[in-house]
Amino acid sequence: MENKPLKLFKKSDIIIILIFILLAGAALIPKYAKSESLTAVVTANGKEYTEISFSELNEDKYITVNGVTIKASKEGVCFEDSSCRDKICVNTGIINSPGEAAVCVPMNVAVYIKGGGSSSRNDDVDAVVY
Amino acid sequence: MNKKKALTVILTASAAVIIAAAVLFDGIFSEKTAEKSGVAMGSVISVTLYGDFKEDTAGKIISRASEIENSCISRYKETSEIYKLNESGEYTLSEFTAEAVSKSIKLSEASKGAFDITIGNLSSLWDFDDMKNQAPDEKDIENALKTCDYTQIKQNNGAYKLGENQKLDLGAAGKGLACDEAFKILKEDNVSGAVVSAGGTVLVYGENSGGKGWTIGIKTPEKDNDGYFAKLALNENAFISTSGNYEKSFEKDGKLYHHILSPSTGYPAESGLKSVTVISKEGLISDGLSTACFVLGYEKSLTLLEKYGAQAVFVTEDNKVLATEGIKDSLTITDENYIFN
Repeated sequence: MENKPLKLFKKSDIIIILIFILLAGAALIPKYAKSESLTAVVTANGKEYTEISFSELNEDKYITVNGVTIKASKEGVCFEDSSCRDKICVNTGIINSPGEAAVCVPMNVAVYIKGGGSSSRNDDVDAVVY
Repeated sequence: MNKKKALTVILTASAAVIIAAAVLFDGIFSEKTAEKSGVAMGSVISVTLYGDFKEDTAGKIISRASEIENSCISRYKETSEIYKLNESGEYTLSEFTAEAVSKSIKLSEASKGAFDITIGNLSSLWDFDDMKNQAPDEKDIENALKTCDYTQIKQNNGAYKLGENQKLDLGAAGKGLACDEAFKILKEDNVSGAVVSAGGTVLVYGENSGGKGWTIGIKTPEKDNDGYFAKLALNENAFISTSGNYEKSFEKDGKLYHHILSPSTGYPAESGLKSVTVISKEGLISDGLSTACFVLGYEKSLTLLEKYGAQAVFVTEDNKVLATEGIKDSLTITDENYIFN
């Protein structure tokens, strides 16, 4: 009689195990994966001031620079308030598509949307004192 | 079922159980956090909570900051006690506002007027909030300076009387005061750990996830850079405030005009510093001290800081970093343009 080597798994068993592993792994993805998402870039006085990644926004975030307050939410980003006279920037409303921009000319502040994920430069500290 | 098949089923089930456990434990060990931001005092107030907290803790902190502004310390809002005192020259303050004013007067005394609570007229004249980007007339500055003298304030059981045309300005201590109130709320709600930032004045409270200490970045003292040049490692509750010449400033004819006014000259303080960061046990004090120390400069600040048991990090105009003994070892410079002295 031919002596067959002991084979623990059949092909179909391995497939089942792999499916289980993939399913469990998938459950962890939302927590650990940094999904490629849209980013709002705020510039002040012609230079990049800060970036906000929409995928990392759990709550509305506000940024104040040059007397202007910018609000970032899941819906997009907008000029919430500005010390400028005509408030054209505030009336621009929410922008949320790549390439869209809103500008406050008197205060020299602009915000635009770019594609692809990028986290804040200050992620490795609990807060920045300024 | 043959033996081989049974073994396969057992192994498959074990793999599934192990992975499911990993997913579950991940949920248990990654601590609960909450983040909330809002606008008060013309600034962003952001609250991050760790571990145990109540659902409305963060909301209460933000509302309280608004309340302090609107009812107590604003110079602009008709509903505030300071507005009423400034308008009429005489007013009986609530216990809360009287305590804030009293602490500010003490700080004015201790700093020999480098921080002066009666700087209101001078602040209005320069009006950095309005972005006029223009220095006021010399004559107007001279007149405003005449009303800048904290020794003229009279007080009797919370009834305050100001000197002629005097106006109080608690702007240099308001965000610190908001952090002091945040501290009380965090304590009341038995919060495990929190970071509160009121327009850049930071409170670190309790413990963050895993019980490791807090790391606070100190903003690079340049207008167009929102990064940090140094990290501070803090292991206990602390209030941290920075005063810098990059905030609310403008340049005219090659000269930098910034919002930290010297109560002795009436012009933006020139003490050879770009920024001062103060670490203290009280927010109003860390806020007021950072302004006073910016006006005083490095050498003269040391006795004042000692008096309040506070620590500080100074950045000079030539990017040298100086720190008091108690904080030196907790400071790490991360930007090579800045040199630890």
